[in-house]
Amino acid sequence: MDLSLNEVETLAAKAARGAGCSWGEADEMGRAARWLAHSGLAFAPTLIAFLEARGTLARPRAVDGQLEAPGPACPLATGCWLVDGAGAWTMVDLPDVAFPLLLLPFAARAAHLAGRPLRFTSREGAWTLTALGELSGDEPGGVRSEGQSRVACTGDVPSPARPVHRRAAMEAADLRVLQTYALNTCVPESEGSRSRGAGGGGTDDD
Amino acid sequence: MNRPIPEPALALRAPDEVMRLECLGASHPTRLSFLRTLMRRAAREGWRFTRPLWEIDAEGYGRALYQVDTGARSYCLVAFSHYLPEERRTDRVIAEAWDTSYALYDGVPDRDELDRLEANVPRQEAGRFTARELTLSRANKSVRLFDSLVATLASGVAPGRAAIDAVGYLMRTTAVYGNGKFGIADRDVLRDRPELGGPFQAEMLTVWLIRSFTLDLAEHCARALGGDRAVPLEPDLRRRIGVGNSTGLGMAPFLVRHPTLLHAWIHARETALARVRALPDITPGQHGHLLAAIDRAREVAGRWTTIDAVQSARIAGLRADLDRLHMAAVSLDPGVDHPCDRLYRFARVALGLEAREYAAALLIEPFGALVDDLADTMAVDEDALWRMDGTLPAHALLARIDDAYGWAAAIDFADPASDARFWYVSADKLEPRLGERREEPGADREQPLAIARDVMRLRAHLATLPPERTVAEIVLERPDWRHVVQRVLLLSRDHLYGEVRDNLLSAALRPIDLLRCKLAFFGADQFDPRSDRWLRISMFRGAPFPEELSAGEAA
Repeated sequence: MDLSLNEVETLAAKAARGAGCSWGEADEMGRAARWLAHSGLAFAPTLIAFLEARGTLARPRAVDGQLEAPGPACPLATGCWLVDGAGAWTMVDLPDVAFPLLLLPFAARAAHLAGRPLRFTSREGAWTLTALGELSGDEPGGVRSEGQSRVACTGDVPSPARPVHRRAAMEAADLRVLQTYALNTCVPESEGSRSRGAGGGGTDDD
Repeated sequence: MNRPIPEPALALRAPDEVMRLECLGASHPTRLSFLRTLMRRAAREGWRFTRPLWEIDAEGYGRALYQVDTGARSYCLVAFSHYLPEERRTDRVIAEAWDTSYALYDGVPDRDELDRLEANVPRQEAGRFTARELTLSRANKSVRLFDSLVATLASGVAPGRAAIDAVGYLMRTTAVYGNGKFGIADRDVLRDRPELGGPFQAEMLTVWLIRSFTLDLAEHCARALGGDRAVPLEPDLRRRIGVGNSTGLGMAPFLVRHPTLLHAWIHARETALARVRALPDITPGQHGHLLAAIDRAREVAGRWTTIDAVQSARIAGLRADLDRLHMAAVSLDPGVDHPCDRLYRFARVALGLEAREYAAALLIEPFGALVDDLADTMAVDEDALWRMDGTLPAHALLARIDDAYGWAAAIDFADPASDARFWYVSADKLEPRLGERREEPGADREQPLAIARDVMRLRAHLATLPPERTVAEIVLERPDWRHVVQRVLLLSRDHLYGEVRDNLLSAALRPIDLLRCKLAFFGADQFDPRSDRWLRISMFRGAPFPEELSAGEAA
């Protein structure tokens, strides 16, 4: 299935909301999914895995300006924290973040807001983000961290950004799973709501 | 000694005045409306319009192409006309079949592309689309006008003006989709194309070309029916026909979900008015232009009909008020003492809300050179504004709420009538709906459009927190406040026209007020509420056709 990026954003936001995220964080997830698709990364399998595991992840707490989490931390909450303070730090040590791919769009936005390249190190590898908030061409690599993640400004000149994608390919099965989550944001219709909620039966007599 | 004439302040009208639903619901189109912007650009840049394909049979079914060459690029309206059984005819968005369907295509489609479109466009939401399609739309014939006009033309008789004015359009669209819906191109694609980069320009182009198709189709059917006896429509009667549109709740949440865009639109309109009011004098030519605009408005108001009792009463008042505005404008001395400001002040004091807002729209009409640049400020990069300063302390956020949301504090949410409604999305049609909170299920899935209520709840929560607690800490601990905090930070200082300053949950809410505001920015008129939550309008009525464009006509 070939989706527009707006469809990706809307679907991801609704699925996140349908899975129990707050409206504000669900919107952030929509934008994050769009960024991943735009960068040519397959967002859907990770998003689905995240939504399924969401209830088991630790919500981080801020203690003296540092994030702490008793177990693998929610990447969405961690990502929001990261961008909310963007520009105010040059390096942030984060707890061990689950599904670190989902933190990547937030690191990208932080880089864009700060106007500086960033390096994001996680248990699944490391990525470099350009000052324009794009993913540099480096494959994930570098030192894998155990037990914590780090986002830090870097003086290195990142390799050129990857080509951007205007559309997103998605497996039909993934689409169905996300649509099922998204449907939780909707209200099933009754005969009464059909005529009243939309404002009348609407015969075309004109 | 002459006393100095005080300069009217260039201050814009206050958000507390213009962002009330009552005022938004009295909006009229202006020269900054999007269809006017489109026509001005097309005239200025000398866009060329052709009809390279017309494969319509004697019964009026088939396909056609309307091509526009803007200089930089070509676009095509791809039009399909189909047989529609009577029992499937409904002009609500929930329909599943239509008389005609359309896509605006990026480029010029070849035969294979046309066949692909023909397999999908008539199915609309049930079809699947690509980045080559910029918009998607459909329209039904006016039961009152289309067939009777065809029969009249076929018999060789020129139709009466009254019959045409009573309806004003041959077809009515029920949706014009853009921005990635059903797989069509994302709006991003247009961002770097000046010809369609402004708000809703691709949608306006679509509707403008649909208008041409509806007239060509009627004349084609008349020729097929009447042969040599058939006559075409006189050009001045042709001009009187626009495109109808039915709009329901689907459009209402848009303004709440895109507040920086709403701000940009209203701010541009208010800035235009302020600039004109600040003119110390105007030329006799501009004065004459203003009088002509008021006369056209009187004509529009004269033929404006609706079945809605509230709107009917307003229109009656408007007609009388426009006569008074005309008298005041005639006796206005254009050479002294800020004539436009004086006329606006007269409207404000002496006329009803409909006429006051109409006057505000009409006053900028003669002053294109002074205000048209504002059209360029009406597009917004919403992404670039998507940030929040997490270092802000709770007490500062609280102060921002008190500064910008005083109107919300005045609503008594202990009164059940104040939160009688809730906004939701229907599972069947994925369309926004309005429910009765205490009578219908689904309030647990309420959409986040309860701005006044939620900002006041946030305020109460903030008051319980240590004043130095930062915004980032607050929303980390309570993510359910994130969207409200973000909104307050975005709209409480820099985008004061972004918030509709009324209670969107109230039992007294008339959602059509929101719809009318947006439709007026499109350039619609003849607002005809069919209930408190959907209405019919017309667009491009009296406007030139693409092929008639000349700079003078479109400006």
